[in-house]
Amino acid sequence: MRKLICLALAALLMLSLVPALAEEITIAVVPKSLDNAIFLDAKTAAEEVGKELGVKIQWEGSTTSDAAQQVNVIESLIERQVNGILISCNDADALKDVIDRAVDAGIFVGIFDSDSPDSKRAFYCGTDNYAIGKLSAEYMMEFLPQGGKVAILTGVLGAPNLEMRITGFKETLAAANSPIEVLPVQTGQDDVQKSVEVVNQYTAANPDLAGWFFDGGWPYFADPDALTELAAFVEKGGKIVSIDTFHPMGQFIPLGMVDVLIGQDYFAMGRIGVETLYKLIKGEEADLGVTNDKVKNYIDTGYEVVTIKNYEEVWANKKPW
Amino acid sequence: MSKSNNFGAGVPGLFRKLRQASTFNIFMILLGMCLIMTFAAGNKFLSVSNITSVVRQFSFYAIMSIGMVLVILTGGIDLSVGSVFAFSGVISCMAIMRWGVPVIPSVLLGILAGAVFGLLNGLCITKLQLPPFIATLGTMSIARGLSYGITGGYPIGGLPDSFKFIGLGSILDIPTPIIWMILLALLFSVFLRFTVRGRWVYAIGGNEEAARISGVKVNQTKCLVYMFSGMMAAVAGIATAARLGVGQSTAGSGYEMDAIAGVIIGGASVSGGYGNIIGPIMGAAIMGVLRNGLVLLDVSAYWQQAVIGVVIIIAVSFDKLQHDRKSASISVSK
Amino acid sequence: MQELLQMHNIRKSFPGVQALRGVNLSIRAGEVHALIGENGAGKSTLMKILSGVYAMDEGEVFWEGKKVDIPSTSAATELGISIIYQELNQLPNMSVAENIFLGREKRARKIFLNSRETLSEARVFLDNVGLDVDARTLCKDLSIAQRQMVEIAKALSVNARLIVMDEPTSSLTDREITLLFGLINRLREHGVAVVFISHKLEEIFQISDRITVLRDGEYIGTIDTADSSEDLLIQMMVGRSLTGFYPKRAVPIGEVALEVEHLNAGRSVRDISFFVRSGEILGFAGLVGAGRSETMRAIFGVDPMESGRISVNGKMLSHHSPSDAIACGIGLVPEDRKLQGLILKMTVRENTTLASMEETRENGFVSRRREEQIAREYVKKLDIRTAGTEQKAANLSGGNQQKVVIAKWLATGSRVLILDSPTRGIDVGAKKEIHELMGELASRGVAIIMVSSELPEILGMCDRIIVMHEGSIRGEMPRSEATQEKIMEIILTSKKQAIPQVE
Repeated sequence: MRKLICLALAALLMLSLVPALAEEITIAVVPKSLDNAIFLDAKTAAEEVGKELGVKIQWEGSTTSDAAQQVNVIESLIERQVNGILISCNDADALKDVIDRAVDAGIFVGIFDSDSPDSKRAFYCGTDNYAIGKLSAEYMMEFLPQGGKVAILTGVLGAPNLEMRITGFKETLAAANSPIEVLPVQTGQDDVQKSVEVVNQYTAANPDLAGWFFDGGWPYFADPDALTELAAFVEKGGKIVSIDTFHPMGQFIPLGMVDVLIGQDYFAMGRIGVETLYKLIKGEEADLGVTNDKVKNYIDTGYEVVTIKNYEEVWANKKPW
Repeated sequence: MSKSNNFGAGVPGLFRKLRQASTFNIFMILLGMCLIMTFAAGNKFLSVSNITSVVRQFSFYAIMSIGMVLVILTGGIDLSVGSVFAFSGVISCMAIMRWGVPVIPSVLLGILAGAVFGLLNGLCITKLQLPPFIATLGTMSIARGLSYGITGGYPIGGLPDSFKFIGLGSILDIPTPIIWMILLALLFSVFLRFTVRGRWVYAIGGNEEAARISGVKVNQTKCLVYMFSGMMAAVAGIATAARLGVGQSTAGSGYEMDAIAGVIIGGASVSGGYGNIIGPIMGAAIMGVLRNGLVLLDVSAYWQQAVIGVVIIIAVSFDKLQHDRKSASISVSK
Repeated sequence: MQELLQMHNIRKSFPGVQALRGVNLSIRAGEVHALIGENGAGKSTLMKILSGVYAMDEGEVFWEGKKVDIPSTSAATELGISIIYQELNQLPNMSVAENIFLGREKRARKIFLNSRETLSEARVFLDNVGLDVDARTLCKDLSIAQRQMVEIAKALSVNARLIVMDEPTSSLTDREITLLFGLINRLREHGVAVVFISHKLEEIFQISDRITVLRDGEYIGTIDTADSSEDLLIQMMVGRSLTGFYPKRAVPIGEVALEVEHLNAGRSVRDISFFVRSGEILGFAGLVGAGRSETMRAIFGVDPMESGRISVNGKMLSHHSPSDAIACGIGLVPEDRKLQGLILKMTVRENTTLASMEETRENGFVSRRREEQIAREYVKKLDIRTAGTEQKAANLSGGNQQKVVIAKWLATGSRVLILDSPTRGIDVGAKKEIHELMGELASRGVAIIMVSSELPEILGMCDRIIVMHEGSIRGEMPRSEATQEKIMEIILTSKKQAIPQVE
């Protein structure tokens, strides 16, 4: 009887090794959470490039943005011996150890969107969040040369990428001695409904408001009809600069309800991330981006800037959600 | 021995009756907050558009709190409302946009989805004897997962105006969500006060064993309240999807805590058997006015959470102290 | 003899209630002093003042002749006063030793628990009270009697000179009561004074040296037990003499109302068959744990039954749940009125109509007016003493609470009423009222089943008596043939039969 069980176990073991023996390359792509629609472009891109290269792409993640759950996901990927992992970290420090363990286990790890700079990851491809905050400030100064009050809407407080955008925005204004006055930061807690209500109430409560900086595009996931106060605001000449260029947000440009959208290129993140990992796994030479005193192996995926002038051209190439 | 109900005898009758009403303290807290806001923010707060906006905002939470208070009255808890909120909204939007179902049947389908989840909760609790916390934690995950599954995570927009009317329109200048809240509050107040089942809800929360021995159909009634809770979450979810013009699988995450907070601030007992419908609505209103106040007074988002916490603790302890004083003067048994 | 404690002219009022109006109490060292009075007479309030829970409005307290102030419970403990409440304040998941030293934990190097010393000292006190359990046993694994002993051990561990026992015998079996009394006698020999609060007069005669009677917050008097009699005490307690303690009426007995055949439900209900006729009062006698309550719960559908037939007025009950039983006209006044009978958070009105909600409907909705009408009708009929129908059930005295439970069943028009220990923990006056009520219901043709552990009550009230032991019926006799000795004999002999089976 025991022999039989041993045999069965051995057979199972063999079976489980089969995928590895088949030499099919598997790359797991791990977003911050499955419930965040902004990663969907990265998913599409990763799957496309996977098909082109003949790589199996596994879209895996926790259901909520939680570092501890993400650690579990990576541990199970180490267990399953995937060839490469492309991950967006919920927390730079919390993920460091498990990323190092994956690298020690012979898995190539690349990071997109949100970095863990001290880990042994091979590269980081993503947006320079400080730079897009800076660019937003430059647009705002152009729109409001005489200055005025500008409000900021953010999402979850303390998220590193959002904080970097706010810092870039504020520091740029300060460095240029701009007459723009920045009001205390408001939050919609990453929730569309809460963001819409905060924007409406805050706009109504501050009739002398001259501009809004949304460091993420939450209000624009709602229908234009829901943003009544914002419509009145732009009618009076208020200016709005918003981060993100997801498909549903496009309709607000021709309506005049946003002046500039600055988008991270999740498509590029997914594509470049998978391509670079593929090259590393194959042992080919790969471009790992720049290394300087601030960051090592950083591939800047750039950003896109959309205004009424290039809106139609850009949106024509976007896949509808 | 127990002739002690004549305290406050000198006060005029109506006022005394009002003071004895269980929601009086909560109402005073709400009124006090509104007064403070009026002094601090003036017309910004009192403007028709701001008040409308505040009421519309909290009406979604209040609708969920109505369902939640029924569950809490029986001594249970429903953690699945935030997820059911998303699931029902998504189902209605999917039905309209993807499956070609007309608006009204789509809305009914969404509410039915909420009822099904509620029934599932009820059956897990009564038949499988699971603690409500565990059962609804499970369905919370199931409903959220199904929402992601059927939408693939994408929001569903482009909804017809007739659907958006549910959350965005107004009747006689009153925004529709406020009307739903008032109608549902009336409906469930009547349910609790004037129906046999409503009385049974209190009885189960007061003493389940005694209720059962008195012929109360405990399991049926529990299933019913969880269904109501699911349906209220569905109504709030669908109305929110209509208000925003988009159905999202991510909607309502963490809203179960807002709904529970509304009920508790509204003076209901967490252990069951004590509470009413008006309390949670006032609880939700307090949260709404508070959030609005922090926005109007330009408090930085980084400090808002802390302020909300402090105000909730002050409000609830004020109510509890008043309540204790009242019950101490009534129950001098033995 | 030296007066250990003297309380003079104690007054205490709560908003709307004058709870104590000049009460005196004097306790001598080494005496057992019974404190009696109906519920609401002020016994608990007086004891709470003595133990520092309440502050008195007026009055003086002398301890060993010196005037003292008792501002807190710890002050009372320091003087040497300990109270053992009816609901024991113990942590069920802690050991006996830990409970004894709760709040006064033995320490090692100031901060660490010293469990060895805790155990060894606890053993000394457990020996003193004669409780033979391991000090490491968790409290939840002890019987109520044993837990009481632990409380007494705890009192001794703080050098208590006066121990107040609030209805200590209410949930004890006869054997346990004997043990407790033995312990009380030993305490008396060691000079410890005991204040003994009880409703059971026979116990008071058995154990006490002197008796103080309170009524409606007033001090009625203190007498030597040797000089008192049952009639005298009752007269002092209720302010009038109660004649004919068990008011059994002769009532014509009618058709069979409830018939139970071969009922089985769990280990404590084995093959039970009996019937009760309208107008008849059927008593179920037996020891605590004989399976009587379980039988009643199974008949009423609270607990599931395995097999058997139950028929009401010749019609068999098919589906079985409390609501079906109610629909057939059965009512159950359960054993524990606070946990099973009433919803304490609800008002008198709501409790009264709970089982007959359908009757209160007008046009489909519950009519508050109808409810109040029904509640007021029964408050009047049963003489329920309450501030009004909107009073919370929790605020009523035990007897009045029990009347509300009975009112609930009368409102459903029950034709078969099962009363499980209806007078347990109820004062003498209310007890008599409930007995009168039973007689009245029987005369109106209601069939009544009464479970009681008090043999005089069974003998006094019932037309027919069934004796249960270890889950089955061991005997049955009509009123005319029943005596206390006969019932005890049935129980004791069946015990003898049972022993060989166990071995």
